[in-house]
Amino acid sequence: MSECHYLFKSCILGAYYPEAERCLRVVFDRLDTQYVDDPAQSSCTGHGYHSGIYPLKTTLEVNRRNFSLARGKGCDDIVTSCVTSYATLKEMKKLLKDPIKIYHGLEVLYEHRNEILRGLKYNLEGIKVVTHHGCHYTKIFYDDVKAGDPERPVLLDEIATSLGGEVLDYSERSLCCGMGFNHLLLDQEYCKKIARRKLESIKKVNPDLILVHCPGCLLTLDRFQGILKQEMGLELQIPVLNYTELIALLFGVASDEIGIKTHHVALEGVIERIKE
Amino acid sequence: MRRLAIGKKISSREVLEDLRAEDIGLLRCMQCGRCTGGCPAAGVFEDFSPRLVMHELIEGETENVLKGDMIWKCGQCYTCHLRCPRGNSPATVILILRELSLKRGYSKDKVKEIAAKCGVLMWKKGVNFYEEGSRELPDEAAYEVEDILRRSGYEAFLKALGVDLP
Amino acid sequence: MKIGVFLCECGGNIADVINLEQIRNILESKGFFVRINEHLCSDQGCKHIEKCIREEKLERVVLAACSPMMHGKRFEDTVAVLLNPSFFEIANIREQCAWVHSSDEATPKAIALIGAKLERLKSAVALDKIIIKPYNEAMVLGGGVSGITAALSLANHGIKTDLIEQTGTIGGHMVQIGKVFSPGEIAVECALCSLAPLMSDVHHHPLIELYDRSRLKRVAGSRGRFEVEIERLPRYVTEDCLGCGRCMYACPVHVPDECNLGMKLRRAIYIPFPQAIPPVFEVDIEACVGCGKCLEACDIGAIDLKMKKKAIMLNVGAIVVATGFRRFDLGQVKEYGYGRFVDVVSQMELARILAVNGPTKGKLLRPSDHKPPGRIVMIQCVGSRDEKVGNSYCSKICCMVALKHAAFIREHYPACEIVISYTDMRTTGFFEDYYRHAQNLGVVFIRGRAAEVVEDDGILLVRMEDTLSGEQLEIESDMVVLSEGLEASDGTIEVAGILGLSQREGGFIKEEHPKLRPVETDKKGIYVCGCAKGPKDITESVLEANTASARAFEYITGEVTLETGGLSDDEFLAEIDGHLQWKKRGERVVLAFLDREIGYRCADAIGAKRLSYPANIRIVMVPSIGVVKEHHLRYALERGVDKIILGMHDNFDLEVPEDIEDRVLKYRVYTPYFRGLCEVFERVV
Repeated sequence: MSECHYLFKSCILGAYYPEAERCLRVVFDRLDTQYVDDPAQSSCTGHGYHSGIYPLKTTLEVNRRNFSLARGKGCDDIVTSCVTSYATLKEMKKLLKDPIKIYHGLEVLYEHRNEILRGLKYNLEGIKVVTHHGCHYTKIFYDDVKAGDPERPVLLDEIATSLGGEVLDYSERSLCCGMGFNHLLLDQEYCKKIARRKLESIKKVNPDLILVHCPGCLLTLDRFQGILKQEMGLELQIPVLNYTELIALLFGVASDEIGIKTHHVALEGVIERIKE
Repeated sequence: MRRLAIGKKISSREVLEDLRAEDIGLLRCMQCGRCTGGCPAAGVFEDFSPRLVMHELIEGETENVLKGDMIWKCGQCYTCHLRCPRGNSPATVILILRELSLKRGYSKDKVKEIAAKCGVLMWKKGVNFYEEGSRELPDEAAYEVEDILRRSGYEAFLKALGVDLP
Repeated sequence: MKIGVFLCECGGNIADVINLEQIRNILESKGFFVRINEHLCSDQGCKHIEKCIREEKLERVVLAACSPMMHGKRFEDTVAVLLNPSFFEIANIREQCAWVHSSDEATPKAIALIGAKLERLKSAVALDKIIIKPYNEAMVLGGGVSGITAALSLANHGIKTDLIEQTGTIGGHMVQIGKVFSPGEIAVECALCSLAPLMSDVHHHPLIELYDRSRLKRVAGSRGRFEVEIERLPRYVTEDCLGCGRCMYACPVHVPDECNLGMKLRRAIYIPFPQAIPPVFEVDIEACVGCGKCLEACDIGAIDLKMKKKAIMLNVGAIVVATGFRRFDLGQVKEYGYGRFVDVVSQMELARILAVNGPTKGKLLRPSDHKPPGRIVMIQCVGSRDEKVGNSYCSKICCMVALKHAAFIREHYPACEIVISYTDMRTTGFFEDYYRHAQNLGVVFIRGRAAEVVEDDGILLVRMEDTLSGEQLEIESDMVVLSEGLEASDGTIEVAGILGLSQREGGFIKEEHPKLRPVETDKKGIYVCGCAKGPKDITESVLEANTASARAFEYITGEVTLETGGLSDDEFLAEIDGHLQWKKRGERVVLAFLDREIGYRCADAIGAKRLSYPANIRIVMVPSIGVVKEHHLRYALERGVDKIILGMHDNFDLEVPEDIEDRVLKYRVYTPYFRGLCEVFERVV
């Protein structure tokens, strides 16, 4: 990884969980990790690309610009906060034969996992965690998964364990969160059924929180708990945290600043337990 | 009884010509069903099966696939891509097919609404999603993106879908 | 007399069913020395037996264990160090007891089986063995790639070898195939380029005598001393022939050329192909019109139309059967129209079409109009995996043959589409690479076995179900290629009959043991390899041929032990007595006299398949059913045996007198049909 990362921001986080993305910058600052936050960076088109609303050519051209912006800022890698950005940029880099390197923010923090421990104000002792790694991180460029097997990635698991948490296994670990790109923006039948399968499997092991690293997964697993309750009367109430939010929280960043208000499932309870 | 006429290309050329199909094993599909077996969407939609989509292509029924709504049921999770024992990637093939389908004027209803939202936002603000006050590109950058979208033919693409740009 | 009994647990195979402790107590109470062992056949087990014989000074030994067919030889060798082999018996309490009876029946039966052997041993007399040297010469039947390989291997080991080939040249099917596939690399090699040097080696080898146009007529003797008669048909051309071919050009007769499956013509005096071995012309006397033009053309007078067939006697120590396969007669599957539609051909015919020395000089042209086909549909499993035609087995090579041809065509004639209608693609091991290769070349695979081929407006329509979508399809094609299955050749079937070898479905010759003795037949000194044994590719045939020749070499250069008598009258009657000694009141004992080679093995097979039959069936092994005489039957019946089963086979027969006819059942045993024997066991009780 290079000296200075080009931070690649997510559309979903920007619109729905802005604090979660801010947390990545907070954590990077704490870890003295250099990055460029370039306001000119556009969306990678990823969500729309996988929904079918951008032809390949459009996606290629939009990202050719993003790659050149990164290079213009002196960065030879891009660190994304979204797994679909990660996969989309990687795919476009491959097709454009661009030398730029693409990483996901989680990978950077995974590299620094020991340094994180030094700055902790709180830890996860007594907290039961389940993890969900985004499909577009593990399944598309499966050879690049940094820890564990693509069918059982363990980046989040190792981080959670090193933070003192207990990671629980669950049967639908490798299942998609249910976001489904075009499905999310249309009738959501796919989203509801898959999110339900996923969440019910998680509920069986009764964790204190679900740890994710993908904006789409965060959105789906968090917000669909409300939808499933409303439409099917399903009582789940499992807090979902992005890895950036969790680490910022453990660094002592105030609850408001990690954006608990943006979450559908209340985080207060689990935060209180962490701070105990 | 369906008749396979001589000279009617059997395996799907159109798909194989796409840049993304270059190193995937579509032709090597052996119909083992490992894709469908673990496909979340196949569990949701009874009639959806990535294996059958591949099957239609191999037998040259590409047009049927492009007209139908099978390809829109995939959730793009890429589990099939991860597991295919022959290096095929049904999820990628489906993405190629979605583009082809729209290019031929089919399936507009599958994307129009999304394009009207995300596509237009991309055009105006350089992002797929926007909520009041959330991140958008500074004007100069947004113009740059708009220009790139236009040059890549995106305006025409939206127009064909019946999506109007501001 | 001190007698020892060793009871084998067979790792639970026996001990889980039979109460060995109980048997030990009973036998010990009768004064026998008894030991139980977990695995008598293990090294430790055998050492234990030897140690006990030595230390306890045992004079006779009964092993109660698995069938003597399993480890009999090993046990005999162990015991023979210290005892005359006649003083040792095996009671088969596994295949013929523990595996066929329930627990409560098996223990008393095991005691009876052991008791019978103990009784027999009491009357045993020491016997000597005769050791003979096999004839130092081998015979290989069949001159295909298997036979060529086996003959060369034997000869290279210094064994004089007679290679018997029924046609006018060696080479077999491999010559016709033209291009052959290999595992591990996507290469299609020229068959003749690999085979011709070997054929030439056969021709020049000082230790190989090639008998072309010859057939096996009869065999006398056995075990290392086979006296074989072969019949050699004349070539009508002497070995002086220079192979110049002038005779051929002079010959006015044109007949279909077998080598090209009739797709080309040859003369009545001909050589099958230029590289044929022996490199001597031959006359098709059936076709010859006797015009004498060839005689005029031959400067050296090598043609002799008055040659006669000869009977030749050969003495050989071992025989390797390499008589190969025949291609399934495609006309049997009427719905594919082979023979009715000229453009429906076999894979072998396609091989000839693609061969540079074939009817089209290697150009892909269809037979009807000599135009290049735009689409070829290949139909797999024709004559294989089809009970309707009597072949339930997979012919093993046809998937590869189809892929080889399909890939070759796609590479050289990319305008020609190939569709393969398949039941399952079976491309084992590295052959999978061919499958992927063919797929990459755009060969289309549609799963489902074609139902019928019809012709409509000059287009062949292959109708099938695409079983992966459930849709009924009609595939237009310019040419249909049927992947014919493999059956045992007529020669294989004939040879199996003459040599008395067991056969399996399709007429293929059965090996003695599918894993451990895969090239041995049930006749000592006779080996089998290649497609005479079952469908297989060239690589596997060569492997087997080398194995068979190694085993034949071992046999010829070793010694053959012939046991004298093996079963004396006294021993036989004592064993009968032994069975009755343990008979409970009211129990009806049925004795089955089964010969060692067929009947006994057949009974073992019932056990191996875990079928069951009543426990009062007691099997007595006899060296051959011919040793059973009327007085044995009377003795047994008078002593209280309820009924007797005689496992008949070979040419032995026994007149059963009328007065005991209803108590003696003659049943023709046949190793593969163990279920039949089992049914007889059930029925007779």
